[in-house]
Amino acid sequence: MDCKDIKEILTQYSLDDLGQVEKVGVERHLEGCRECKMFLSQSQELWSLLDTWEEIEPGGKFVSNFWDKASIEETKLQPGFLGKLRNLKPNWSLAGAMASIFLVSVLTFAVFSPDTTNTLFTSADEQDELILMELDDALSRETADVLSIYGPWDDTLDVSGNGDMN
Amino acid sequence: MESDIELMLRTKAGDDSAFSELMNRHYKGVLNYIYRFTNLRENSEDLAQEVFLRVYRSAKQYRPEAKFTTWLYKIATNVSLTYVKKKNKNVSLDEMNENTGEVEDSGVEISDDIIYRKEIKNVIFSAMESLPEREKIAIMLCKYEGLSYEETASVLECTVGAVKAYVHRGRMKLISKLKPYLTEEEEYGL
Repeated sequence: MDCKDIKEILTQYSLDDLGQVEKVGVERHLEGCRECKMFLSQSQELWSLLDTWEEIEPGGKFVSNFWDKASIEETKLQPGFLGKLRNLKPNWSLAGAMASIFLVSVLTFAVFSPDTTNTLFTSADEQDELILMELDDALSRETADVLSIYGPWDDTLDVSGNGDMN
Repeated sequence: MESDIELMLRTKAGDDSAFSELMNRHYKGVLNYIYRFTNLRENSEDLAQEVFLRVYRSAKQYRPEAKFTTWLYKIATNVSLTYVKKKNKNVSLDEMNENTGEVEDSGVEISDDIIYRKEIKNVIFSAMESLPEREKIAIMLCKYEGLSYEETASVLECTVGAVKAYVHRGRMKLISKLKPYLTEEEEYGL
């Protein structure tokens, strides 16, 4: 291992966080390397220097102040009527089921309900039909009059083609 | 003694006294972690309370999957980072160094020791501030809060190997920056 490798694991070495093989390797290297030895010493010194950054002592009312703050927060978070309305979580599956039931009911009623008002056949249509029947009747009578010059109609005549035309 | 997880589960069930006990255990650590992050004594207590408020508010969703302290310090880190980023937009580092919130009586002669301590604190804070975020957090959690590499890795959401690398790199940079305060002043090939 060269100096670069050793420096990378010196932190772990000083924290006694190395395996036996690596530890022996580091110690062997340190015996013959002044630079790494000084780096280790400075590294340990740095850790001690960081300890001089003293802790601060909290005020004695930390916990009680916390609960005061928590109750204020809770009051603030209590929603008004509109807030409650906004906070309502819609149950989409229930709403979907209700909408489906409503749609099916409307369609069923539309298809199977008895039709009391016949809007398709009005009195005007009935009158038109009478006129048409009269016209039809008149045409039949006229046709019969025109054909009467040929004499009375022979109903016994065989028109199937089996009879003798001669 | 009940574990942190047991206390948190009691809090989840609505027992506020359990949460008070949890705070008594950890508020000093959280307070100092935030103080070292911000170097602002006065605001540290408010921020520490904000951390515990967040924990308390999310107690209903608490699941004892990770160690309580890693969850707590993750929240403390987020609160501190948000605060520092917001503050750094308006306040310079010099102002932060000056505004420690410590009361000084101008009528009383300040001893050399107090001056030195104040100076060294500000020097360490400045050196820490200059480190990349992850190196700074890794050193603060391992060195000051006594978290293991595994716990720190959980806070930083990275591997244990990455935490070791952050600590090592941060340590090398700090040696370089704090060289005048270390006894040996030679070059070490940094």
